[in-house]
Amino acid sequence: MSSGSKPMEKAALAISDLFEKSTGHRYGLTQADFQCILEQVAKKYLPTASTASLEQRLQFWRELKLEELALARACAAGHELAWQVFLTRYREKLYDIARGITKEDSRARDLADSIYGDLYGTSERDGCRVSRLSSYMGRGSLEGWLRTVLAQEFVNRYRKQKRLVSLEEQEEEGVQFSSADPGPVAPADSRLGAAVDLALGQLAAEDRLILAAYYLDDRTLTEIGRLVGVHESTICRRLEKLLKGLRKQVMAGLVAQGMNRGQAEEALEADVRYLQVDVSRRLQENRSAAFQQDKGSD
Amino acid sequence: MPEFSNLLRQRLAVGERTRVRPGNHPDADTLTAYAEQLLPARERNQVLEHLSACDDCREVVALSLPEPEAAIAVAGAASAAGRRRFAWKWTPAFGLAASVAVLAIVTVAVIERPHPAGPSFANRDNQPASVAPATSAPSAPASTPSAEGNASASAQPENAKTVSPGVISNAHTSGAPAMAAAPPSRELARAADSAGRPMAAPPPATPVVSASASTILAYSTDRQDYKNQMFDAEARSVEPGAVAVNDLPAAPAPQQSNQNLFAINNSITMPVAGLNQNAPSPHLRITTPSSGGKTSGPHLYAKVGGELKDLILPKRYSPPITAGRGFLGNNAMGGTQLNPAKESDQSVAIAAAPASDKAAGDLDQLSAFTARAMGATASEKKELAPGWKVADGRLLKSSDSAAWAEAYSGAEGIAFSVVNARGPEVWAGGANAALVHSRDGGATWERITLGASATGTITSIETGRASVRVKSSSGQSWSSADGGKSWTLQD
Repeated sequence: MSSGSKPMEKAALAISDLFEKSTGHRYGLTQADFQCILEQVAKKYLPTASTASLEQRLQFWRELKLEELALARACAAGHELAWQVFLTRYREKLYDIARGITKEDSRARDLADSIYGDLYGTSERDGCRVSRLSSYMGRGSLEGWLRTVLAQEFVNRYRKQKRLVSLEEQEEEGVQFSSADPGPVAPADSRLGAAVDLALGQLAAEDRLILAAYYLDDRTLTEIGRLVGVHESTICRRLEKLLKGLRKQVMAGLVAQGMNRGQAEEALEADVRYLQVDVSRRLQENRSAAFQQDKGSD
Repeated sequence: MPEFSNLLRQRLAVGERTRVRPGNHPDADTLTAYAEQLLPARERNQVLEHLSACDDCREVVALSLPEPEAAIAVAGAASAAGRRRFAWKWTPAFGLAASVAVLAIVTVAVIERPHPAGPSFANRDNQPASVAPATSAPSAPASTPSAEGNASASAQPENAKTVSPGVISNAHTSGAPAMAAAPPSRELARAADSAGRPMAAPPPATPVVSASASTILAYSTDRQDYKNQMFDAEARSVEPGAVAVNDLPAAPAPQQSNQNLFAINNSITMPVAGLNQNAPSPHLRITTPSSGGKTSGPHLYAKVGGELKDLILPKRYSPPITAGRGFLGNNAMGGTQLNPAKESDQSVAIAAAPASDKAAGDLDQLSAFTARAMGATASEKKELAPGWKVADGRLLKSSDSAAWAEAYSGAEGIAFSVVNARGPEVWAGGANAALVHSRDGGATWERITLGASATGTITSIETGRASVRVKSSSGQSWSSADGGKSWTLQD
């Protein structure tokens, strides 16, 4: 009894300490509520939540944004004071964030207002109000989370609008419609595709992200740097290094598949219109299997 | 190797059209933690794997990143540029020259520096004020030249060139014993003077430790050009309506009024610049008649060229305009507030001159600005501003409040409801959001169009320096920041 009660006491003290730091009592939460929230977060994000030691869980919880977590969950529970604090802190920020995303006032307002309803919880499930804030887990800042939620909403809307295209409007705008696909053209050399696959597969995830952002998204070096968390000059150097390394690897791969050097060079300089190497698909297929698990999506 | 880059770009673009969209996107928390670089290495790698394959999530992360601090970049660039541009300044020769220049400036400043005369709040020995006065004053000549200096300053305010808190401040902070100390200091100073010692040059201020407001008050009372302490005494001493000193006429009793912010009440005579009450001709007198009314506020009259001039009230002041009696309300910028429910029978005088048909109580804001209320003498001829009013849907103007003439005779047949006049700038509004503007006191008019969606009857017009705000009975509020050239409907 005594040996088992000590860890329990320690856990209780630690959770009490975390609750104190979160100032959840100000927003109407009880310590029991807060503990439930912490357990929920641990269950979601710790790979082995059930077997993780108390120390691991405590360490994980200490790294959360406790005060913002308490605020968000208190808002989701409908505590008035929490809402007042939330509105004071984030009301204007929400519009500013939306304006930064949409680059236009009216769309920004529209976007922010639509999120407000979700955050407040205008929908109900089983008689209970459902607020989007209940999905905030405190891993990042609440402001950053709001940014991400707004960005997701914007991307979803934009994707929906992209599908709905008026052909008449496009005709009026003089858009040239592409002719029917003539059918696949036999690749100049299928070994080139294989060599590119192999080279891309051997890259680190971050390198593939850089390539995808640069070639698929046409992002600037600065934007890619922010995406990856490094300076743009680092991205510049890495891209140059990547291209050189890829070329070398593709050459080596072509040579390994029976070409001589001259032929490999010629293959690399071939008209790319005749090449059908699906590099982007190959980039996707290389993702880690760990993300196959259901992490939930917003 | 442009060909290879093109190869990659082409292939990636082709692949995107046929790629399989990956499922199981990271949730907002994970993406946020990734963007804020809070993820552990293993989890970060997983997110990177996903992002390299999912353009939507890349887009989300890119959009959710806050904008970089441009100011920091600009500041950094500016400082770097500054360093490059002014690199020549960091040579030893320049440094030596700069040092010599600084030394010269400091030397000159030290030589030319006047003796410190300003107040400070710590005495020489850093003793609190309450400790000093009772014992220090009598021994002033021996041990505290600053106290002596202060005593002389307080005793002879006319000659003192500087101000110091003096013993008076101590008196205020420490009560009776310090008060007793003050007179001996003055006598001591007089004795010193009579002994032939030269008056001290602007004495150094007595450092007095006092955190109380009374120190500051004492400081101000020592100033020779303004003696606030005389305020109460003299105000009480002057009988209302009494004949003014130095043949200035007594101000007449004000009009019967309530809540008049601009009427005048108490008599306050403020000596100015060493003025002696018994001096023959003060040029300035602040006086107000007292009627025992509830109002308050001074006026400042000056005898200029034999004429009494009111210095506080500008001649062409246009009073605020109200529809009812008394309260100014939100009429700070002028404008008649129309009760939409009573549009038809609204008849409001808007003028500096009071309307004769108004009840006495309605003249609150207007009476103060008449010649009578200001106590103007018969010899004064003041040009009254023209009056404006709206009656029965007509816009009327009068120069003497007696005869009113139609001011706007446009063919549109506007049923006016409100007018705002400020000098020659006149705005008038009416039904169907009609709005007219004159810049020359009604000589010519310009029809203003608020906007295609403007509806309702104009109920109020507020004007600023170049801004105008118009409200209508339909709840609309239109504003212009360029004097009416363009209008914006406010939310």
